[in-house]
Amino acid sequence: MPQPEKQSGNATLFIAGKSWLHRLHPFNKLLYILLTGVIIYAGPKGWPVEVFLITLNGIMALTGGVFTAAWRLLWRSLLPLTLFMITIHGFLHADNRIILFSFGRLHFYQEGFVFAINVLLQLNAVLTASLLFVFCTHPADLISAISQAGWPPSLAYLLSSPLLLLPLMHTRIRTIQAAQRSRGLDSEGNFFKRFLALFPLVTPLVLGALVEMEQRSIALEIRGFNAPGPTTSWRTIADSTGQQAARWTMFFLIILLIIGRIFR
Amino acid sequence: MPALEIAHLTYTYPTGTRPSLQDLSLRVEKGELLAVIGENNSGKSTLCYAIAGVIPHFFHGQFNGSMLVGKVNTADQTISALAEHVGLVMQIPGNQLSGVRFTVFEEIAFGLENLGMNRQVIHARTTAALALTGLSAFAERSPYQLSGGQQQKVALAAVLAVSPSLLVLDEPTTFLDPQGARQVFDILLELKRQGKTIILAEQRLEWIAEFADRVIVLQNGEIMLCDTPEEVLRHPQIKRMGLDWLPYTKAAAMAKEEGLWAKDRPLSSTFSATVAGLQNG
Repeated sequence: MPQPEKQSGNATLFIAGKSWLHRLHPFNKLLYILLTGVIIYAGPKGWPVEVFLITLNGIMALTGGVFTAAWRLLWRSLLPLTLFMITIHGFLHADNRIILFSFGRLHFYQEGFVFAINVLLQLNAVLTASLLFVFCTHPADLISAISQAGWPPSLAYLLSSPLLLLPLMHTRIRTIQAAQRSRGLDSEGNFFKRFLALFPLVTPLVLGALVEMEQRSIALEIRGFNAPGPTTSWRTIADSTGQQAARWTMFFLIILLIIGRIFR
Repeated sequence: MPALEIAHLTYTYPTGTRPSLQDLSLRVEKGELLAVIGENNSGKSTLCYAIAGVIPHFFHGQFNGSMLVGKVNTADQTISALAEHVGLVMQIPGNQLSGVRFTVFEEIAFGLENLGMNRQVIHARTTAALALTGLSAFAERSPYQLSGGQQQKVALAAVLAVSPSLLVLDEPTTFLDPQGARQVFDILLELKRQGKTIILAEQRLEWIAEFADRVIVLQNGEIMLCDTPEEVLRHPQIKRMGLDWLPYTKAAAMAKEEGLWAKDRPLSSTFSATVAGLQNG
């Protein structure tokens, strides 16, 4: 199936490619995210597990050809959080006992630092697994997988329409903003001015969105969205026995980990 | 059997105080291109919606009379079930995109998927619709990155792929530039040549004068005139219906006043007929 290139016309982070990760069934990638989360919160504790998962995700990103993109997004989103968490927990965590270093009367503690690092590693493991999914799964493939699995088309619509329609909404906001400014609306300056400028922006945006919603509902109806009988899908998602087996294995692992956590 | 038969249709929107369509009866033969004209709020869009089943299934309101598309009574079917019989193209191009398909090919195939067609049929029909609308080169592009004219062609192709017996277009060129409008009209002309039944609500009278088989003029939801384009577009009453003569008709009328037009020759409504009338005095 030809994959469309990354386009500004939608809000996806998908990067076109033909790697094994791209070819993997979308449900397998989704289950892997879930499995990572369950391992982190219900599986064996400790930083070696988290480091192992992050390393595994890194290797997968490398072989999937999305390592650079994942790395860029990861450090941009995690750096501010890392600095914030290490500072807060290092200085203020409730279990702080052992002082690592001091700034005058301010003490930075080992327990808070370890706690922050542990939380960040957990977050990193889940986030990297999620990035593998969004970078290597075209939303159209996810929607087709949902349709092929016999789930309701409205679910697929709920998942995909924001990706396509939010950029259009953003464009409309900019257009309304430009139109209102050309008519003398001052949307710059202090908070009060900006707040007042919101009304002439929001009113046409909401009214326009309502009209568009009505039109789009009609458009969907006249193209048979609610037609009786089974639907088909042009995009077919490969789902080999091996992939199915992997999916079931992950599913049972998740169940086992949860049961193990309950009875531990 | 006619492609469309409407009998005594009267419809009032749920929030309306007066009927938007009043005792409207109409028969459209297979292969006919019927143009619907009239001023704003004359009932053109309401009529298009009613033919596609959007009225009374989406906009409820008070619906009396009957509407048959072939043998199908639109009141007895859901809009989605009617999709195989009637194709509707609306005014605003972007609002007709499904919001769930990422390429032009998939957008056009969307209706076929909903109707449960197999992959071979989807491929054949979508490819044919792409070719007919000149969109083959855009098949793998995002429909959201296309121009308004191209998006309107996508909407038209999506409807054509389903291959309905009746095609209804509600002012499809309103938001298009002259070039985009020309492209849409060229496609309609090709469909007319192929024998498709088309109902076109439109404000661009020049095109209607040239290519429509029949024209109806709506005013306050009633059919005021129904005849060939030549007869309707040069009709003296048309000015009282919020419309105007075409420049060619005006030129012919002025020529008649100046004695440059034969007294027994009717006024013309196309460029070529006006030139011929002036040449023959």
